[in-house]
Amino acid sequence: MTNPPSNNPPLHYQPIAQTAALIRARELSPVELAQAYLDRIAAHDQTLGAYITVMADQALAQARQAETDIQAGIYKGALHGIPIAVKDIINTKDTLTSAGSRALADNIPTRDSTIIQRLDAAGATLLGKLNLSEFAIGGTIDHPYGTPRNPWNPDHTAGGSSSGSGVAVAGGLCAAALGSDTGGSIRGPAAFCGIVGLRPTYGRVTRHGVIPMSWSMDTIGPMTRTVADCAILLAAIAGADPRDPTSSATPVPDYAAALPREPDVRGLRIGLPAEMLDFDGLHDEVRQAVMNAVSVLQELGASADQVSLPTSPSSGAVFLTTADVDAAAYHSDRLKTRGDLYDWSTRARLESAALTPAAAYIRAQRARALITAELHNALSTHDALILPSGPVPAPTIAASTGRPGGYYQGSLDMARRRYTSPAALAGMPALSIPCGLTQTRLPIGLQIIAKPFAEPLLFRLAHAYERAMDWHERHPDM
Amino acid sequence: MPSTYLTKQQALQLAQIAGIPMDDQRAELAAARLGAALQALDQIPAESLANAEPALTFAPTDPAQDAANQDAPND
Repeated sequence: MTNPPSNNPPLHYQPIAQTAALIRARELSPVELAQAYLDRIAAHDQTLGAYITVMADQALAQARQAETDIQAGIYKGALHGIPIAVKDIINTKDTLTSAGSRALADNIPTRDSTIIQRLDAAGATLLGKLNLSEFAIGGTIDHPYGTPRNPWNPDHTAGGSSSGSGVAVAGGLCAAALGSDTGGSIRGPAAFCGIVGLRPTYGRVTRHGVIPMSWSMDTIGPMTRTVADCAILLAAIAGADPRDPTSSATPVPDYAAALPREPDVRGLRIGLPAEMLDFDGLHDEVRQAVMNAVSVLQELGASADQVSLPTSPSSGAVFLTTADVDAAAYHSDRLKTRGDLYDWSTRARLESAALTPAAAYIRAQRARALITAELHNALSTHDALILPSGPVPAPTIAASTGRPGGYYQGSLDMARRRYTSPAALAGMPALSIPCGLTQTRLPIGLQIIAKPFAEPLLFRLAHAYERAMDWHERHPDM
Repeated sequence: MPSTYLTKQQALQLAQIAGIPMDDQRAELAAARLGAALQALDQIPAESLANAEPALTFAPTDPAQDAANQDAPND
């Protein structure tokens, strides 16, 4: 059962743009809005497990300040008074930042990350810290702060590692969230939970004050219910940061301008990677939903034809040999002395990565260059690539445990990685948007990849598709 | 399934070198996981990688360091 599409959704499902207009016009109090989400969290989070820390007192204080400012004529923009929640690897001053791990159960940062400072400058209300796979590594079996559950069906996984972010946005437990995507950790939960999730171009968003997994692939990005909300949130957090040497000085464009009132994708050329769409492991309903979406974009004026990314079937192995080795290096000291603090699955993954031969690591770096070149080649003749966000809808939690044979450990793990690893290895932006529901009412995600810093193009394509359909107006029945 | 790329015994030896305490069960799992990744990496045709240099993630952009490098004798 899902709620039918509605042009007048309840407050907790309203798009940011709609809520912001009410706040700006002083027709909605930021305090009332924050309290509505806090009530919603109180009612549903015990079941869903989205939050590790709910910052009720601080959120209400920020909301009261926003209300005072706006009444005084000080309006900071579309996020002013909007309740946002962030993945619990983003440092928050004086508030637990656990990374979803027992190992950091007492970690109280003394400084905010740059991202939190930017949200604060935009006037956002910080609702709390969101659950995740341990250290954003994925495949956690025993979540020490509760198991995140998919709002569409609590027996099913929300994906990982930004699971709490996906759950909170889809379940209406925040207006929008931030997640992190090293190899698919935003796009996976976004697809499983039926929301919009953006992995920005590597370097587009600062990583300062964010607990790392892989230094050369970590990105922080928005997870929202609409494409316009995604653009609003990205605009607030993007841009160079002197405290993150990998952040890019490339100017931040006006993302809202990429969202024309009338959908227009005429003349855009879409590439359809054969290795992902003709893959035997692709679920029939997922394939059909993605091809239906391509047809919609063609009707709107885009053209589409097949492209090839020959090395992409190996991209999962290249990703694991790169990112997991980075993670093993970061966790090296604790692995040697307090490995028992990790979840069984996290520990197994880090330990195997720690044994990787140097020659294999370099082979992976050579393959990474090859995969990157193949993506650039495809995007030299096409504006964007379209593919599923993953090969299957959300599996059950029972089937997706990290034990051998489970979704995050078995052959399906490599299968799903071929869909999310290429953009990660190449540092390219990739957006997941909802494009359907299975017969069992589980969301299906469509992924769009573009050249570095082409987020406006992703928004343009996704916004056109979103306006032509009503998937973003469908919500779990809860 | 035992890995053909890495045995449990080899995993235990590597873990010892790396200073990571590991029991037999976890060594077997590490061998299987790492073996699967190595096997998948080996499926990339050698000829595809023939001209591929490793993807690097640094750029020598420090002007002072660049100047120092230019002044330094070759060795």
